[in-house]
Amino acid sequence: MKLRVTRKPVVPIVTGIPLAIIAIFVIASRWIVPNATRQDIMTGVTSPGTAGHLFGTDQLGRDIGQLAIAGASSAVVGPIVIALGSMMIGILLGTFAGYMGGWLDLLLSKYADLLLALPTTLVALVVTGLVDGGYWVTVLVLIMLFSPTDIRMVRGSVIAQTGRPYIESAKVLGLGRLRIMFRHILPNVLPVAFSTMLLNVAFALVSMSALSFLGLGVGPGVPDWGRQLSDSRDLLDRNWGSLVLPAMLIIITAAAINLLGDWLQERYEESSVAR
Amino acid sequence: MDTAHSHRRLTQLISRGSLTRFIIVRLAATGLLLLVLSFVVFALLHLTPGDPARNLVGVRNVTPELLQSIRDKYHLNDPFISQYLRWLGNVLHGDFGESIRNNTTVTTLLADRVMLTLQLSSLSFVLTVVLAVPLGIAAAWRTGSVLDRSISAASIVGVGAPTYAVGLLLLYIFGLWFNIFPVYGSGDGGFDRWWHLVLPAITLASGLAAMVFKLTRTAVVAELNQDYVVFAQSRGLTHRQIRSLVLRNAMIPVATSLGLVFAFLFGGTILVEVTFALQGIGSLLAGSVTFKDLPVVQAITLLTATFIALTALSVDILYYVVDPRVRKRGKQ
Amino acid sequence: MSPSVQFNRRTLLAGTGVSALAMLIAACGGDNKGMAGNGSGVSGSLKEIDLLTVAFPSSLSNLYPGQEAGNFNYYVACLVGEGLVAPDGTGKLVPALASKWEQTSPTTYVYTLRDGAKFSDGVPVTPEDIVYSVGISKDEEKSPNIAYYWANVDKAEKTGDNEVTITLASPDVAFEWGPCAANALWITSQAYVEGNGGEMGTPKALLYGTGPYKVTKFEPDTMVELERVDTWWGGVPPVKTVRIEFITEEATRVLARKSGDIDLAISISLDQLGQWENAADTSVLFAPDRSYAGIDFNTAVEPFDDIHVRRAIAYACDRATVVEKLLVGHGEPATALITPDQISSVLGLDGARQALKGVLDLPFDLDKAKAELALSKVPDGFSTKVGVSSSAPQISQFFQSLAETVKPLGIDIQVEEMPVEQWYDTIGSADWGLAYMWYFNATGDPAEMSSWFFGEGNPASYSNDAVTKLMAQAKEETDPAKRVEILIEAQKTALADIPYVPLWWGEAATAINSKYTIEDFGSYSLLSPWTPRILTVD
Repeated sequence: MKLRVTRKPVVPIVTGIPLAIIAIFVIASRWIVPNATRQDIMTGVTSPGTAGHLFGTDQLGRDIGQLAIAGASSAVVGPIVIALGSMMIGILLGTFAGYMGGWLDLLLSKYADLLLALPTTLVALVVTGLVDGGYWVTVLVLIMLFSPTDIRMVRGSVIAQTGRPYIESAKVLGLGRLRIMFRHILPNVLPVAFSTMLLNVAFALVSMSALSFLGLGVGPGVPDWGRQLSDSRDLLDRNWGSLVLPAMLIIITAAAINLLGDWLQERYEESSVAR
Repeated sequence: MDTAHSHRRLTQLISRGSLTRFIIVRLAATGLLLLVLSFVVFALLHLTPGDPARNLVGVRNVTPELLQSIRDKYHLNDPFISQYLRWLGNVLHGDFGESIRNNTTVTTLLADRVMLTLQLSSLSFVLTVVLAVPLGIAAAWRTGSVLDRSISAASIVGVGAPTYAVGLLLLYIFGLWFNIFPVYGSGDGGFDRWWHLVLPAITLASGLAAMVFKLTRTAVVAELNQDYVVFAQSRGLTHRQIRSLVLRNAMIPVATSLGLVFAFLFGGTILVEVTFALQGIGSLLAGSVTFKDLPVVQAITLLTATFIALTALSVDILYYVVDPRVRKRGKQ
Repeated sequence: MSPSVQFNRRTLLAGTGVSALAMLIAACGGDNKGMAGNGSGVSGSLKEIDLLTVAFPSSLSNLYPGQEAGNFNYYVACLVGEGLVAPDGTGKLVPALASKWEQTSPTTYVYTLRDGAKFSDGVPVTPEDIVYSVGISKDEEKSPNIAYYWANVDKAEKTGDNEVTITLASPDVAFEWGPCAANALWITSQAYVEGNGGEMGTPKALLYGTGPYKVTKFEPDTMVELERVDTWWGGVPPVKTVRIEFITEEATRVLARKSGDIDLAISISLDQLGQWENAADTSVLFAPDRSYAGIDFNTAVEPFDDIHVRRAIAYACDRATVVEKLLVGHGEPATALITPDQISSVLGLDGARQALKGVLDLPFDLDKAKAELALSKVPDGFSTKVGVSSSAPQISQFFQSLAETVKPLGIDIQVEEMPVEQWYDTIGSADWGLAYMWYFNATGDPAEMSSWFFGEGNPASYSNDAVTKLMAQAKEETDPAKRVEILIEAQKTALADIPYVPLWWGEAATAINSKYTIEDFGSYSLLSPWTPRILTVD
């Protein structure tokens, strides 16, 4: 085994900076870019670097950079809700399944199998498209679709904990099942759950922007990275910034979250390897 | 890996664990799964907002006579169950009804397109496995090295990159500047078709490879951390022998997860097909959903789900055959 | 319902592309050479072209327009099949398969079949074929998209060795445009249709007609290939093989042209204009396309039942800026429901514009808008939504811009995008008080749009007895000049109530390999065989 030297926390710093910036965009866009959707039809489309427009403008004269900043919340809030919702379902059902076992476990596992047989994009596309749902319908659908993986993950983690001595002693002590599950096992599962949640945020971000790219989700003129990507198709020759900026934002945000999530997972594994 | 747990449980449930028995049980489970899915897919017609008959009329002028004839044709006034059974019966005969948009049978519409999507998927899959698995193994073998870190970083970018942006980038670089690959269309069949699918396949593989790379790396690292590796080392097994042992064991969870990867593949083809203007079932689905062409949507959803379920089944069987631990336990 | 009242889905479906394109016309009998000059200002001559690759921005799943009536279905069909008449470059009807025709009574039209007309396999055309083809077009099952054009036709019968007489149930001068390949008739034979089990336009049955080309291959949603024949009365076209590919992604089409894979791109998007113009060896040709874009108010829905509200919104439309900025100058601010090209054969283009200017031409004036709104029953403003087809980006941009303009007045407009097919359902619906129409006039008949827009069941729920009377008069008026006068009068009367606000008349753009050009390109070119007009630049 490799000797572990204490490393400087490079990853959190490197990922933390862009994420902090995005967080600022999400929370404070109302104050940073209050006029993001302001039109200026006389200006029309301009390319990156024109006066006052770092990333150019679209056909209605809206500044691409400002739209992107305003679009951060649409890109990020939904995925966070999805990851949270999915993990809550995962924790609830996964803990029961893992600890109780038996037919409950079987049922939940088969339910998870059922949902996993369906590709995310396809189901989200079909459901949201057929009911003409918007942003939040998509969020709901994705929560449903992400939950099986979380259920399984939590279940596996709970099962791994169940054999441990401290649980045995809790059982011997006669502690109630619910108490054991949620007061003793769960705290040990949470770190891994948290890092998985982060990874889910990244995945949900990519999925949701893909769906708005396909035309579901937000309406025209509403700031959203996926929507901006789709709109850029008509702007490419006049303003390449309209493609590059939202694309880079999606990549950077997803990558940063992924890196952070991975790093957390690794740290958890390290600390749990010690017996 | 968690799948390992559920599979071990399952084999415990089979008292005598012969392969045939296993297959039968899994087939039955898959069949049940598909039945439930088919029920849900059928119900889409009734779950979609609006009157089903009205939805089936599409853009034609709605007259009371037309609505009535649609109701008769699709037996919409019958009890739900008998409608479902009738629909299921048709489906099992390969009849998915008519497309609302085109007035042709759904099967005709799907015929050419299924082939293209299959070709695209398989090409992507091959590219992904060939690229990501060896890299995953190499990275796992040397965790923390420059190789590991750089490929991991690249894969993280790959997962986040929007399909449209990657596709367009590849088109410009390899289609236009270097003029190696054709810029549009799906070719004239045969080799030309595969050649046309290279850029789309690479685009699709970029996201997929990142996932598979991570999976492989995690699986191999997990195996390397197992006790038996230290044990084998202390017993003097050669490096090569240990490696093949570790890899064989690691490939099992990887292979199992590849089944899941296939599920993501299908969703991914939708985006790539739209980006590259390919006439596969992914782009057809996107168009049909926005148009609410229900028969087509139902057919594609069901076909995809079936395909994935069958793939998962095959992977399960393979897993059962390959994993000595599972088989041994079964033989007790 | 009379045919003209039911809306022309074909021309609505045209909304999937930017606009119809300008190609050439086949002249009346005889010679298709000798057309003066050509729109692009480049001179060329008829040289043999082995293969011409064309790209459509939308795909076809059936070649027979009776089954699938998109603009592009027509462009293919009129290369293969013909009607009795066809339009010339100014929109006047000239002979096609009929060498002459006469209206012998308000409800009777007699057509004389052209001598020596043949199908693509050499079989001569007979009056029975014509009667049979009319029957097919009238059949709601075989031709659901165009059957209503023939609803007013009582019967079609052979009345001589090479003569066919069509009798209407009631007089309607607009019928003259009916038996035309640009509209609702493609002459074919009974043997062909029945030999294919009643199928038409499918990959198996293809198409069979009297035009300069025959279909050799058709892969729905992918491509269609045509080969020229030597049986056409108009001569042998210069292009031997036409290969039409369906490329729905505009960016991909540009790349295809840049890499030389296609020669001709029909209906290019205005948004991509820069890319096309910058492509090497590519010229872009423009021509008006007889399209109309305008606001519809459903006057049965509040608050649009109040004329002050309608007028306020009309004053808030800055048509000139929209044309200049959103359409990049390729269009004209509209003042009526008739496009200039539809009456240019009678008044000339300038005369047409003059005549139409008097219909409705409100200036862009926000102060006047405010004042109007103050007189209405919602002086503080209101909220509404508008549904826009996702294949109409300029319309979406227009409404977003309008929304921004009227915000200070307290009016809140939410723009909702939807697929074009779903948008059809919103036309005239009570859920959408504010709506739009983007209409491509199929024929050169000036009454085409107004007969729908002022008739029963129109999208604005508008009815006005004076207008109805005028429209009925126009139906029977056989003198073209008088008819145009009556129609313009009807428009003036109706639009004084502002049920509709005309926004712009559109222009279409085509990109072509600069080694070729198109002779005499104008807004009617697509309505008859266009590949015979491809010239090679000198």
